[in-house]
Amino acid sequence: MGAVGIGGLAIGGSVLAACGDDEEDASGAKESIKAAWVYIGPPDDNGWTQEHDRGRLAAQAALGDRLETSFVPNIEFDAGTTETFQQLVDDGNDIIFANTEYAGLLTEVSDNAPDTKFCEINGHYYSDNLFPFYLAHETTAYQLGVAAGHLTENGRIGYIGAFPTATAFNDVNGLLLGARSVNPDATVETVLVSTFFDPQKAAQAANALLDAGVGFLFGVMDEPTFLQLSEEAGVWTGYWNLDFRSAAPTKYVSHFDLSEFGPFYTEQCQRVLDGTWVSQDEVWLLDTPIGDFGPNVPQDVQDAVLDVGAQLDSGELHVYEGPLNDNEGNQRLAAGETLDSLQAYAIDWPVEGVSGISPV
Amino acid sequence: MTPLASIASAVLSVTPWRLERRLEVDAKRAALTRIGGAVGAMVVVGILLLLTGRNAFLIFWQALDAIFGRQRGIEGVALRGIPILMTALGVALSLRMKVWNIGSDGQFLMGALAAVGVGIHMDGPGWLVLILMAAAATLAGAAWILVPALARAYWDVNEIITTLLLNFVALQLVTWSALGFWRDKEAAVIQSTREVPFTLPGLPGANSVTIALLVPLAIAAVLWWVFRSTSIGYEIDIIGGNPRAAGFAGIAVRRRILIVMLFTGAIAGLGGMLQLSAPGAQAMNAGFSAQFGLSGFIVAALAGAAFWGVIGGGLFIASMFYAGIVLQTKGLSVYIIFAIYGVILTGIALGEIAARYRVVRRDSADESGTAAGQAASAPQGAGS
Repeated sequence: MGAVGIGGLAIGGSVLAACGDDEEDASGAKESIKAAWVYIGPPDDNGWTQEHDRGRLAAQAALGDRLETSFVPNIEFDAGTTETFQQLVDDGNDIIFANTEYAGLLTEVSDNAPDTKFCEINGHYYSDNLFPFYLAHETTAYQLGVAAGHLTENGRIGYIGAFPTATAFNDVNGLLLGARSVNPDATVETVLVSTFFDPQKAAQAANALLDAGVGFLFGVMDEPTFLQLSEEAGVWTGYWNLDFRSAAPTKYVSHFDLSEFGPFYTEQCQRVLDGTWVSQDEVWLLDTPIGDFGPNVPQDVQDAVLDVGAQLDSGELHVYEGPLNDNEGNQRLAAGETLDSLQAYAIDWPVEGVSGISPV
Repeated sequence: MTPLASIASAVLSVTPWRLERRLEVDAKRAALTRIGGAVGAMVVVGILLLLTGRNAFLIFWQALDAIFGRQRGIEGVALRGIPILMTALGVALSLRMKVWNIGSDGQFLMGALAAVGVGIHMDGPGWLVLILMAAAATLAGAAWILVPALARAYWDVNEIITTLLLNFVALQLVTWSALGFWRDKEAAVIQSTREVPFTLPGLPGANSVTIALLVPLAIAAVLWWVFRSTSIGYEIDIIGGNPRAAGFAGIAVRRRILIVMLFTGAIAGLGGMLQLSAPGAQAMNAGFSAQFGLSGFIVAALAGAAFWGVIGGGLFIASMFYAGIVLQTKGLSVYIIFAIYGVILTGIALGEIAARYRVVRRDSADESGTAAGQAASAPQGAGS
């Protein structure tokens, strides 16, 4: 009986494989494709993964019947992740998106699946079928820093981070340099919690920073627990992922607007449909504009932030402009030297004035 | 009596039946009752899935297809199984003398960390580096249990607490290595150590399974032989049965406890080195062990510390985990999958009880059926 069952399964497998192949015409264009998303958290986390899932739904809405999407939530960095990606390849997905960097756990699969395309956020690996994308956000952090510099008396900013990575360095550096452009004594105090999604750890870190007396609290958490605690403590706060003023109705400053995911996902899927998808040899940067302001942010502060934003956009102002030291006192940028967003993607040091995080 | 057996006994106390311990448990019954428990649990899972509006038949079909329908599934189970089997064998060895090593995850991690240390710093012929990596992993696993073993053997410090707590220390060390001293500066979000450039040779005909699979099988065979045919194994079983009696019989109980505990750590540590040959696992990060130590502990406890039972049970649980990963990609929620794991493990645990106990009517043991007779039987059941 076992043998019969396995024989039946093998036939089922070959029928499935045949379905996937017959749609492609000579130019490589396809009638319809399958795309899958692999998420680090749940799609209803009120934050990071929710924004990615909104992007998925936007691509679905834009491409209609020609795109079939699916997602796998709660995929952590462990040995099972490779099997998850492999299964998605075996299921005939044409393109797979990862909403965090899975590095070797993903490339182990992508290197052996040349017909499947991959896009990995924050990734550092390039191949014929995989390239990274990233949110250039040091400018957004700088603008929030300007707001914090205006709104706080003591210039002390708290930051809850996950890991000491370029993302975190760009957050804390942008915040600090923006705040210092207003208040030369501003500081950023960092707590790293080694996770993006753990409301309890985020709450502990938030309480520690609030008790220490910070005047503005920000973080890269995927969920908004720290916003609520900040509101209760009467401390200004902001969010990475989306407009979540409901968690901090009176003390909300602003957020990073992540609505570029939808257009990005749609474009990549469209390229696969058209047979024009090609890998990149440079990270694909997405814009991360600053979002709407909370109701209690004074108009002159809003104006100042938007003015700085315009200067950053036009290139007359740079986030990273020498002379700049790291927080161990080593000079990293000489006078007049600047870093652009692509260079900032590889940054591995915090600027002077940031504590709780060290150069790599 | 295990906790679950105590619960079963308590539930039965309101019925006219009670649990009675069997004097002899033969291997065939032990295997059949566990398989029966697993099958029964899957029937329960199927009914629950159907009741909640899911197509249970399709889900089971997808799981079986994913595992047995292709070579990749079988290899996936083997890859998942190797670390679970290694930690389970270590735990099973210590359970033979009623020592509870809850720290196999930590020993596994420290073994892997030592192997990474050798692998990223040494240059030389691959076979030589791999042998040194294995040796370092074995020693590191043993070293990680050294303090709990000394404390247990010579000062009677409860090993459950000491071994458990060292898991967290090991995880912090791994995180530190990945964030700090061995960090791969190319990677960004996942902090990993640098990759070990050496890997074990593949099994003939396999795409990704290496000779690592043979190691737990060989260890199980050796342990089985030691406990069947040597006086050392016999002495360990006697210590497990009654350490005081073993002492009176002239067995060096404390030294045996120390050595056996070191061996359990060494096996788990070697498992850490073997895991470095799995796809995508050539570097270490905080997620290196997908709770392999915990899974191994469950396997060893459910297998009743029988070494071939550990192999069978470990591969079964590895298949279950592998199927769970596949089902997640088919849209089944991870929370439902965890619930399914729980029901199946409970089924096996009930099967384990069924192998060791039988249900008898209270008055069949005591023909008079008086209240006194029933009261007398209850503490006897609870105490066994």
